[in-house]
Amino acid sequence: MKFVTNPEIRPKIYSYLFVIFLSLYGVAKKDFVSDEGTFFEQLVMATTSPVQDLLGGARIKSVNFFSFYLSLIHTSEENLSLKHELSLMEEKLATFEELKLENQRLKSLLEFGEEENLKKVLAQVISWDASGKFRLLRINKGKKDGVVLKATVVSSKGLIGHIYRITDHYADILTILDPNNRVDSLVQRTRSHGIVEGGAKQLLSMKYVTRTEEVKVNDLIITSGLSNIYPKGIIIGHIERLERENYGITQYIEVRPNVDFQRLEEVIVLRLENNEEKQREFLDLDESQKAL
Amino acid sequence: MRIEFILYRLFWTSLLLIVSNIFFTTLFPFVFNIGFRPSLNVVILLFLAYRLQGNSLPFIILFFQSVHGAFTAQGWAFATLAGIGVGLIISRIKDMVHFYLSWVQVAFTFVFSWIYFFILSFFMYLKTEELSFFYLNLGTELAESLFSAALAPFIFKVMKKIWKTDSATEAMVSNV
Repeated sequence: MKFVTNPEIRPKIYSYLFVIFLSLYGVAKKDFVSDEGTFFEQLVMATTSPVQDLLGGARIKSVNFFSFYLSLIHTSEENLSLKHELSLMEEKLATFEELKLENQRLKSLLEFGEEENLKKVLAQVISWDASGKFRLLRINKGKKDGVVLKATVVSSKGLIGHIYRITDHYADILTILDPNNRVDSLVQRTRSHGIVEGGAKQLLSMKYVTRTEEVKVNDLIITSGLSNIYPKGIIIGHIERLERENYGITQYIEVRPNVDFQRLEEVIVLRLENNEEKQREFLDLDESQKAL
Repeated sequence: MRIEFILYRLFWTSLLLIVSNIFFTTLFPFVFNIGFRPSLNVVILLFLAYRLQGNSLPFIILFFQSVHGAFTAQGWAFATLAGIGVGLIISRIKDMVHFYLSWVQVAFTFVFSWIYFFILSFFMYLKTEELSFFYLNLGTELAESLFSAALAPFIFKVMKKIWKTDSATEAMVSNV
């Protein structure tokens, strides 16, 4: 312990030890579900995000400009096929409207719980995480636009993730591609339960599905609603590959997300509106998890 | 005088980190692949660990990792621990390395990017009790460390300009 008694080195050791203990405390307090962020992080995020927003906006405008003129080449052919598709869709829509009404009537007969009233906030993706090892997206909407921590984020194709960190005008989304984001999910056809989490090469892996479940390639995976973050029935992706070994109790399932993250530009943030009872339930659940 | 001298240099260094982070997070993933998002954080950290020798180095690492933490889900704490680890190793070997040769800078950055990644993975394992962070990111780390290493001579040149001193101010920087 000679070095500690050396008065020249002592302050250096103390400063290293102080920062190491402070960081260990930070690691212990770190939560990968949501992060309030330190004051300093919030400050940096609030001051740099407008620049990211500006650059992101310019990028989208330039991409749209070129793609718009290129797409004009086959417009008339595309127009005809779209018109045909539209008439088919209108037919389908009428059928679905009927089914929806029937579903509502039957649900009320069975005294099902009230449908969740979700408010939708449209936002633009402005940047990705600065480290390639985490899959975080930044959007140009924040607290002032009605976005809240842990709110579900979707696109027209399916689930994207949830709000991880937030400032007044910007928010970070922890995408389903991140291994720290675990989504309780269902195989739609067989109703088999599992946990979906981020994997390699922008794919997801579905864990804890028992070997006896007869899932197949291309089966649709949806959220189960068994968490305090994601509502039930949001599309996650399709089974791309599965391995069922002769041993073990679960099977290995690889899922391709429905959302093309490479071309993601706009997202929809969903939040429960005026459902105080539900919010209280979630808060209680969070508190009990923290206590554990 | 001393504090102004250092704050001025810290300001330009943090500006370099912020501008590079904005560039790599906003334009890079959309032009190339979303999985490839290199950062100059480690390169800047290596230069500072090599250049500064005083008691403030751990606080400077903490400051820069907090700036970087605002751009990533990794946060400041994991990055600071990895940065401190790298800083401690560099303080032991800095006298043995001719740091101002370009090829040494490239090799040095490549090796220390991996050391940084190993330390980060170790603490991620302690936190999550899973090794997935390590094995899922091996490919990403290889690509990012090669990219950082290739850029290192240029970044070190910029950093040398920022932290340039004369004989009168050299002691000031060395003791930070």
